[in-house]
Amino acid sequence: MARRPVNPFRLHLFLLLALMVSGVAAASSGRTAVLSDLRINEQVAGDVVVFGADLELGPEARVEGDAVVIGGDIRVAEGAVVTRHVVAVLGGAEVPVDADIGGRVLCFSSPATLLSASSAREPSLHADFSMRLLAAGGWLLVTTGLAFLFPIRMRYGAWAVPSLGIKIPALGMMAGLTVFASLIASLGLGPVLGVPLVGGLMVIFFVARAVGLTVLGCWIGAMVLKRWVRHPLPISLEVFVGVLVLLAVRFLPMVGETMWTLISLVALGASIAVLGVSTDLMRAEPSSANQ
Amino acid sequence: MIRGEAPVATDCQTIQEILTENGGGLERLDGAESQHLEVCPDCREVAAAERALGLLFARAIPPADRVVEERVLAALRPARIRRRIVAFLPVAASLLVALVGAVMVGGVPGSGILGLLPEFSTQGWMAFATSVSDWGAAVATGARAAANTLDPAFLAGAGLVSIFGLVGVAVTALRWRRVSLWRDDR
Repeated sequence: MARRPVNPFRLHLFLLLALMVSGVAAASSGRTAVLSDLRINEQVAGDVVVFGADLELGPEARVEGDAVVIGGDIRVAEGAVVTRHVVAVLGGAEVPVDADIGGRVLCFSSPATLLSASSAREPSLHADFSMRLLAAGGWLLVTTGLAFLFPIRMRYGAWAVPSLGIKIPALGMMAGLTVFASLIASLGLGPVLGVPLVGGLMVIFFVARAVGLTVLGCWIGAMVLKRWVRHPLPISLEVFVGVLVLLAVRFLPMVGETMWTLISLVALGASIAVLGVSTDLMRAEPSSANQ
Repeated sequence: MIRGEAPVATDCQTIQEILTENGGGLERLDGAESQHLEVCPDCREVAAAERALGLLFARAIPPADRVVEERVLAALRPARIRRRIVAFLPVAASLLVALVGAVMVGGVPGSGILGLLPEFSTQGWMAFATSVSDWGAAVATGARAAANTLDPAFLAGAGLVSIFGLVGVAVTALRWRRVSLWRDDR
């Protein structure tokens, strides 16, 4: 009798659900939650850690350690006490002046907005604009550079996007969940191993996202330019136009960052489509005649 | 397959693929496939077209005159260089945008240029370096807190999910590697 192969998507989802349940229930000291919001309004003897959800500290809360949220927001009520640091990575922090924080408040909505986070104490339109221009230029440079160096691989990926359809965001979601689980596993190893591992993970995530954005940019750019220009254009120009469109979505007020997160997940899936390019096709890459 | 025709054991698509692979030759066709070819004008047309294409290639390649070939390639060289330059223009434009951003953040040394920029720019990279340091401190704090708080079984579960995810992604990439874009049976 033929055995039916296990669907990797379902297995991955099952394991993630098991992780969520055990994450809420099996905290040994302090408090922790994964993908579910946590509200605390009592004394906690230890650290509070939340992954992929929000943390709310009520006025009676007293955390004897760090309060850390990764991939969510942290809200501290007036009168709440945290004896060490309040940290929000890939999320925001609302900390009133009356809150008693023993350490520092460190808040980063994304690695790309490091400077904005730093200048948040003195809001500056100029700083914000400069940083956005630098980030946009950086993404454009990386993606058009990839298209210039690997035109055939990127073109193949762009061709694969419409034919693969919904598979690409589904795979991107799976890759995103894998990165998220890897982040938890890396951080759990402690600062000595955890910090370099998280750094490495961020680099891999960035590279995969850059490749995926190049593919998506090529696909969108080709669609946009096809309306005005009939003859074939260089792939780098298509990527330039397509990534400009994606960056314009990113810098939309209110919904921009959420849209960018979704675009990043789709880009992860698209980067895997590029990895799937046949090796026969790759032998033609050095000629780069099909610019 | 022709409409109204009695069902044939073979399929037009399969036969046409065999014909395409063999340049219109009938040697690889078995009995049923050869019979199908006799009653199917579409397949016969494909066979004839493939044979005609094969003849065309046989006459066109290799080029008779090496000198002509070299002259054609030499004439194409400036066009290829021009195409490479045009392809590089968007990269150069991207570099320009990034440089303008860097200048506005404060990345260009030289008081003459920095003097023209608003006050924030002169401190831009210093603030950026502080932020990077803070980012490291935030990750270290998160790692310390996670190591203190999370159960080892939970961490093992997270590791397992990571491994399964990586395997799933690798399996998918390898599966797609074998799939041709022009086939719609994926």
